[in-house]
Amino acid sequence: MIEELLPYTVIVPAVASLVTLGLNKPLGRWNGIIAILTSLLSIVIFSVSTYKIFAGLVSSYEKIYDWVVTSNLVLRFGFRADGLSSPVALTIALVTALTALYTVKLMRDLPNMGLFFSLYQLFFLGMIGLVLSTNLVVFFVFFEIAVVASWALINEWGTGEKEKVALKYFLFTEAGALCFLAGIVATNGYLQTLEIYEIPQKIAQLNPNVGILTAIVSAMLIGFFVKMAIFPLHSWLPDTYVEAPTPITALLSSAMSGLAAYATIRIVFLYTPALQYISTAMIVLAIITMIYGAANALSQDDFKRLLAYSSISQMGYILLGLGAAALAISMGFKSLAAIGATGSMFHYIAHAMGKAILFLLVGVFMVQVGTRTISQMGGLAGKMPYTAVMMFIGFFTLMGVPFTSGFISEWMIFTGAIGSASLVAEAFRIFMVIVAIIATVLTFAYSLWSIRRMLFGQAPPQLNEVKEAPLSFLTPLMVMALASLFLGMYPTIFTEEINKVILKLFTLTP
Amino acid sequence: MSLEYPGAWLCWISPMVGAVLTPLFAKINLRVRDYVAVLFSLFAAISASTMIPLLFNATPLFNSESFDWIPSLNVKMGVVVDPLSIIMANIVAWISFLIMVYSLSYMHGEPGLTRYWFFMNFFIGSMLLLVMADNMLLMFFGWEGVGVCSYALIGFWYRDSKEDWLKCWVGEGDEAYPPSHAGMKAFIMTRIGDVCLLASIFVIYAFAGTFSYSELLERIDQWAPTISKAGLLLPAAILFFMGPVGKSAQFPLHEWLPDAMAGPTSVSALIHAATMVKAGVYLVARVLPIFWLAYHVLRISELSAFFTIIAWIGAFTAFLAATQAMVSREIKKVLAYSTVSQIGYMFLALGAGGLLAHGLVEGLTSGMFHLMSHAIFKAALFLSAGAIIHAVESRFMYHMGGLRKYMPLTYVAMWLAALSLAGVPPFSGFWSKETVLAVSWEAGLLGPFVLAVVTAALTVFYTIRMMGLTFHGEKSHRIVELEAEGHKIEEASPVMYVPYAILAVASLGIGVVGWWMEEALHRALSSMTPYAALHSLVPSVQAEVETVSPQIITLPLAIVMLIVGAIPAYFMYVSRKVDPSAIVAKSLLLRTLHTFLFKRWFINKMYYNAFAYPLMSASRGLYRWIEVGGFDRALAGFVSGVVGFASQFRKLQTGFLNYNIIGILMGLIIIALILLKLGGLW
Amino acid sequence: MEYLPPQSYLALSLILLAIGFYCLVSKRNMIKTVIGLEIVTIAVNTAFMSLGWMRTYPANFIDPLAQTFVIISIAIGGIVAALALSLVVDAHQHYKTLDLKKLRRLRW
Repeated sequence: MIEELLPYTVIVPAVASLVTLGLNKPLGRWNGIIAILTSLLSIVIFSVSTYKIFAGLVSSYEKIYDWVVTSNLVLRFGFRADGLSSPVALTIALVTALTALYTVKLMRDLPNMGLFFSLYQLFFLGMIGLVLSTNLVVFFVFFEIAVVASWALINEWGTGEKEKVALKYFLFTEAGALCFLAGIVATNGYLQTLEIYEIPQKIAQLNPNVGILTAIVSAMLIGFFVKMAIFPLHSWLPDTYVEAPTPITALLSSAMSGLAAYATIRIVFLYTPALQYISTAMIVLAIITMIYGAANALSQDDFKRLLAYSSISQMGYILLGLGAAALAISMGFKSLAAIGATGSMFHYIAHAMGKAILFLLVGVFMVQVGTRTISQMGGLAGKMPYTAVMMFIGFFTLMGVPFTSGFISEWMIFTGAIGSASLVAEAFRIFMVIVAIIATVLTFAYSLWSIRRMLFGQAPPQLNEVKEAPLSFLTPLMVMALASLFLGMYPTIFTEEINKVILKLFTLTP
Repeated sequence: MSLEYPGAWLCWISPMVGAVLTPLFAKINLRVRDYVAVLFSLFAAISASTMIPLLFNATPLFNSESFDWIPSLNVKMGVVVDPLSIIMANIVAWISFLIMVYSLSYMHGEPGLTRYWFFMNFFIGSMLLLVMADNMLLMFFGWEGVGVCSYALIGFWYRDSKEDWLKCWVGEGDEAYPPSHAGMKAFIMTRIGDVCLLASIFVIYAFAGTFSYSELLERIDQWAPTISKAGLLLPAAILFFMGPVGKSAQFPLHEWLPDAMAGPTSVSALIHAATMVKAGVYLVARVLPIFWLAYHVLRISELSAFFTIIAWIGAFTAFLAATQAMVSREIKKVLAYSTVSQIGYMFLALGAGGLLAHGLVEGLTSGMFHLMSHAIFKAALFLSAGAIIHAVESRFMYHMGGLRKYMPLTYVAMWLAALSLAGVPPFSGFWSKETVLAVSWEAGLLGPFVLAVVTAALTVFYTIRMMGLTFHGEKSHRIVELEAEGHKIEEASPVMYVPYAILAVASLGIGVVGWWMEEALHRALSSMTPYAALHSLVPSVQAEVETVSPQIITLPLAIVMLIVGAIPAYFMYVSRKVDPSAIVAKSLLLRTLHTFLFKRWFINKMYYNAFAYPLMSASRGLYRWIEVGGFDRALAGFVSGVVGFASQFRKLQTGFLNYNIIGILMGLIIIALILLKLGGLW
Repeated sequence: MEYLPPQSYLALSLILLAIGFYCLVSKRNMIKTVIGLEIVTIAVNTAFMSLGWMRTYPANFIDPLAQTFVIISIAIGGIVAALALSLVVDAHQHYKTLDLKKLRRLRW
């Protein structure tokens, strides 16, 4: 039954998007509520599928349509929910629903609401389709839908020089996407297939040149690195996140960026022979990104920009897990690789929760306090206690404090990283990873420093009238905070299943 | 699901449950909330005590029971029940309970008490989790948990209001810190230690494949030589030690503890005297057998550096902190430096024990004994200090004086604890300090031994100085002012007084039975754990057997140091016959020395100037020069380059139809040529 | 009757093409451009016819299919001329001039 419903997770938002576009005026606030309902539908579907898969009842759900069938090109439109894509899709749906709820509450006088939620749902369906797709071209199509929708959202409802920033974001991402497209085309040429699940077989069958595989993988990775904002391809991110409307930033940061990591596990890791050449680059870039992002975040005065740099840094963490996994796979240690990759995926989920909370808090601060400049804030913990608690939980998730999900994910990433570094047994590699671990102190530094400047101390006189945000604003944040804490104490439900699926994925390969 | 050791699980789960329930009870009634919070900590203490009978069984312990938690990481949720954990858990739980009772009166009327009870209970739960955990991942949960609670509780008075300068801030002049800053400093500094610990845990896991203490010990012959060959065993060991260095405030990560005094005194007593700072000592004690075995049985000789480093850091820190305590002007800071110093003694004992072929149990006994006695008397001292601060409404000792007439009971209790700290027989502090000196002498660590002995004299000095400044002499101006305002200086309420009185008497009591206590501890640790059996694995080395019992050296030395330290202090501060400030003012050397010590050997300043400020400037510079100046400018340059290139093509668009037709014509000709070429007619 | 070989008619059409294009390229008067367009159309028709004759050479008739197309083409040429002239009249009404160089709004 779930199989039949899978396409609807994409179709329903598409239809709803048209509805909100057309019936903009009469619907009014219902535009947003429709958006919430469509993502709620996805939440229900994915919760059921996740539960069934994790309980061991089913291994995966698949629904495949024949799309283009010609003599030399066969494209199948497929949706597949398995132990990896199901929780990721659930996370995306959850964050989308909560952000939509938040937007409805917080941004009552959004101009042109129908168009906003129409694009919002397009963005959502792009991400979901991307996660569920089984075919490289379909993946690319949904990816483009998401990018175009987010471009439009930034262009219309952003702040500052929104058109310029939106264009920069779009062009950067497109350039990356074209590299990825080159990889797809090359895959079709050399491996004769565009189905993701057939890639390992074809590699075993056709045994193409490792250099070609490496070139394909590098092209794809460049595309993904742009999306994940890995140094040095990161410079689109700060301006984009700062000038985009807050709910969109929350979605971009928590859901969209990490999807490139998901795609890496899904797609890139299937090209096993090529992994040994790229793993070192991945690890080095990851460590540089971690440190660079955190170091830049430290001196920011604009809270939103600080969070943007923090996102760059966190993507570095995720890439470290992936790089470690790549290294381990290339040396044949599949289970160790699975730990690093599981850690990355779990960190994606944890970061999604934490970052969404923090970015939505920016909106709360804008409404309640009227500013997002840190130097103008202070002493807010007394005036806004619940908000302060939310901020703590959000930051603690990023810092990797135990009892939040961020700790388990960081633990797994570092286990994988040092584990694979020790496989190579070069002291330098291990030293690099130790440096990376020590660099996590920077995350502590900017988090605690922001908390201190914004929440503690004396409130400046102009903030005397500040009141606590109404609970309806904070409800979405509280749900995410609870999710983060729950996963922090009982991570097994996600980690074990994700680990199993990733292990299976890796063992498919030669 | 039946548990074999329910007490071991309940002792840490119940306070955490209590913490979460506290906000709910606060909605019912504030008094109810207070009592419920204290009740949960009592329940934890009782649960811990249910394990004490196990100490008197004949059967050896080192058991754990566990449940699968994260199979992919080979991590179980389990508890280890052995003399080490039982003793530590009971010390922590009971002292915590007494301090919770004390808080009922001390924190009465403070806003934000719900937050206080929440974090105090969560702290007790985390600390006990740390103690009882049987693997390093679970231990780390507790480890960071106490760090979070410490951060939250130090910064309890987060408003940093200047009006509370005398109560809530810490330090003076350019080293004055508000509570929120102190909390952040503590968390960041301990985090530096924590990440080193983390890195070490992962390296060990990479080679050993397990996080569990018992498995590490059992399989040591498999993983230790491999790590050592990769050249990583010593670095991993030292990194591992950095975690305790941070948590227990040893050099070089010691600067956060004095500033942590910005928190409420009950917090200082609980976290920064009796429990959290001992976590490092406990962790080292927990893993000491593992490294000891690697060193002595597997003969991995590089580990001797590990133990030596522990001992040296311990001894040096003891000395360093004691010198700073001698000149401090705040009563809580004296106690804070004293804590740092005494913990140094504990590490010295552990390190020395590790070096000795048959000294594992001795080192552990000595370290744990000093831990136990220190926890009790330090908690007593802090709690009495809290009562005094409450009475005088200031943290500075120059605002006190002559208080023995006003607060006689506190006077007696505090003197009992202070004598224990100073190491006066027959108090417990004397016995425990003496065992530390003995084991370090046996290990042949001459440098640390000398430092430890000198520190003993310094300890007496600053202790008597503190007592003298507080209780003896004339009333300070402040007291006169307060009395003029109608504010009476009187004895603390029984709810506050009884806890520290109990602790002070306990310190005396343990001292009276000191010798027997040490023997009991030794027996517990050797017979009830496999540690003594480990001794037999070491081939006996004749040269290490001391013919001379160290007591002959250490006992007289200890007494001599007592006298050397006590006499000047007595004359300067108690009987006030000699004026110390006059002596210092006369000599340039002494003045420089005083400034050096008062400014914390300039280490604190150095940390700010070498790390904190440069980091911020580096961040700013990074942002300005590389991010904005580099990437943004490069991007802008790239964009204008592309735009420039494209605009050259604009010139084609003249708008003249005639030129367009020329273009068409050109195209036609080219196509025609191509077709001709293809058709082979060229 | 003696006819020139079809290749000469092809040459004629190329000459006409050249003349027509020259007219299009260099004349500034809009009506002269339309005339040029017409000349090009004639050239194309002539070329088509001569190519059609080259198929059936040396017979003295041209493939009727080719003739059909050319007749249609002539008709279309007439329509194009009519449309072009109407556009020219419209442009003249708007811009008050027949000078092509004045119609530059489509530049960059």
